[in-house]
Amino acid sequence: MTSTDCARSKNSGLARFIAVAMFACATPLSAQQNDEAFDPRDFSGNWDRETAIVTYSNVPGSFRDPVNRQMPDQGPTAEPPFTEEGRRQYLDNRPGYGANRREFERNDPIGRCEPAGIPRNLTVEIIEPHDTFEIVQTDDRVLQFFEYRHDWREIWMDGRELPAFEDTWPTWNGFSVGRFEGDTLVVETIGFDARTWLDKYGHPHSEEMRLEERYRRLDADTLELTMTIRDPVMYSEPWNSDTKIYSLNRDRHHEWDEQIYCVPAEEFSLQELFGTGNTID
Amino acid sequence: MRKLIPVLCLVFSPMTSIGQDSEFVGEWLLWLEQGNARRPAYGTLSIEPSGDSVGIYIDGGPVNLLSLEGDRIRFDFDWTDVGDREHVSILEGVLDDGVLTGTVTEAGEARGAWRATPRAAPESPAPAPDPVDLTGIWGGPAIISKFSFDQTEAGRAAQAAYDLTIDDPILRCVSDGLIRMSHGPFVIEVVEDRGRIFVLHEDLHEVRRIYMDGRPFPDGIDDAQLSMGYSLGRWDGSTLVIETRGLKKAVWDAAGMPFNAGAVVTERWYLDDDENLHIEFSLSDPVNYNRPILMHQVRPRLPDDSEVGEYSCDPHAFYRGLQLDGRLEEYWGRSVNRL
Repeated sequence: MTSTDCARSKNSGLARFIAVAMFACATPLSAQQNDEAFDPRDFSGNWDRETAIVTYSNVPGSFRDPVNRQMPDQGPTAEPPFTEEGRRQYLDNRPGYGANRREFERNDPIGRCEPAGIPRNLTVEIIEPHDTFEIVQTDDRVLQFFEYRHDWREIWMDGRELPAFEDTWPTWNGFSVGRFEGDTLVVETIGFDARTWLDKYGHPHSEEMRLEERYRRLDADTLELTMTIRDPVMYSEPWNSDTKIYSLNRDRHHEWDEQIYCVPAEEFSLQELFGTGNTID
Repeated sequence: MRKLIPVLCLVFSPMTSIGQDSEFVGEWLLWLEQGNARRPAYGTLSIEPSGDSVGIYIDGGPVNLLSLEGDRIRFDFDWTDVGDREHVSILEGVLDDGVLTGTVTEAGEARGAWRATPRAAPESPAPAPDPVDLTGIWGGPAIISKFSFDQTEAGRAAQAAYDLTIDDPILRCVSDGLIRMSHGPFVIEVVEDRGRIFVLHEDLHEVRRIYMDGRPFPDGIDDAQLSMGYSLGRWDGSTLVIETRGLKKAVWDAAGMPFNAGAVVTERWYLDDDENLHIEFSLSDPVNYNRPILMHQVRPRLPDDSEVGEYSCDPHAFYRGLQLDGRLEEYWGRSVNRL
């Protein structure tokens, strides 16, 4: 990134982007502002995660090191606003990362090859080159395709309302409807299966979780995502994510790389789970 | 052993010396009722000249010709139901005005009707592209579930080594792969986007990409080991022709029919006059089979307000069952079957 690029980005008037750009100026980035014309309501394409895998705290994300492509994984630095039940479930979980990290007897659902679900699919935890998702837009939907488990998700854009909570049932990815506020795509989702974790740090959620995602295309190559979790069972107030940045990968149309299934890790995970006398119940 | 006996019988006796009748020879779209609450199913009926008689195959698997006299034909074939129970149905029919029609019986009891109409061979040379709109949601197909096939020695060994109580990827909620997934009773949605056709599967919530931009297969594709394969498509007239390579070694049905990594799948997708989606399906795998597997499925177009559900699969019950049955060590020891 050149100094000219930095100056232009600071004049953009987009507060969040300024913060990102300042960080970018301080650290060489692969995400650079692009003056190419683009449709701000067209999110189609393959988007590579540029920010580190932090969770939903308000800590700004770190960018990947452009030299060796290592991802600084700082983990959550602020405790979420747990309810008593939320803290209990968090401590009951046995993640491999974060403040509650366990050396043994981990029970991350992904370790058993279970679906990551939403929102965990959006943080695309799996390693490069699979830390990406694809968006396809149709007349009435935004479709997202994830590489882990080769899963997909649909966001209805036909003006429908979210169903009443009583009319939903637990699903891995929930029921999602989207709308535009200006050029920001706002997605609301309910109807989650509580067996998924929010992240690899073991933060729980209940079936009553409501998720809001806000997508904004900062330039032709840059997508911004922020999320807000509202789950009165687990969290006493809305929990906002850090800012996630994704960069457009124009060359990625390789089905070859897009089929990630979970098998070998299952062996280790199961042996870990069963070999220590634990049971599945 | 239950599987081997009928296989041996059928492989060596699909033909009877009763004289060839060329009017029966050809490829037919087979429709039949099989009873047991199954919906009428579709398949491929192949009748080929063989010496002074004919060889008959359903979905590429041999069947027993019982009689062929004048315009009448009678044969039986083996198939399995959703509970993996084996059945043998007898089809008796008459050829009239180029169409075969008749009755289905099983163990002497009527099961319904059957019909076979000639299947058009692909035009040569291929007609100019004339694409039709395949986008939308298509209902699940009903297939015949032919039981025995003309397997090579390697194919028989691979199937014998497969333990469907422990090796089946569906038990672990892992993708069961393109071929099996495409023939299960689940809906699909077709979406087009920028040179690609996406097939969204309800089953395991999988997705398949078919590249329509004229690209070649990547070098080394046969070693790619992909559950859904690498698919290239083109339009021959109004028929979408798809070739898929790069599939990983797996099985393509609940009974554990194997296929090898070098297998090639060819499909022809087209609409009939009633807006049903027909998919002619061919699996060529000379490692495991002496002749291609040829299936035919028909999917009804579902209303515009239909939606593809999210397949919810939880492997806990399977793992818990293995633990209770004391089979976890066996499961881990069979990891070679879970590549």
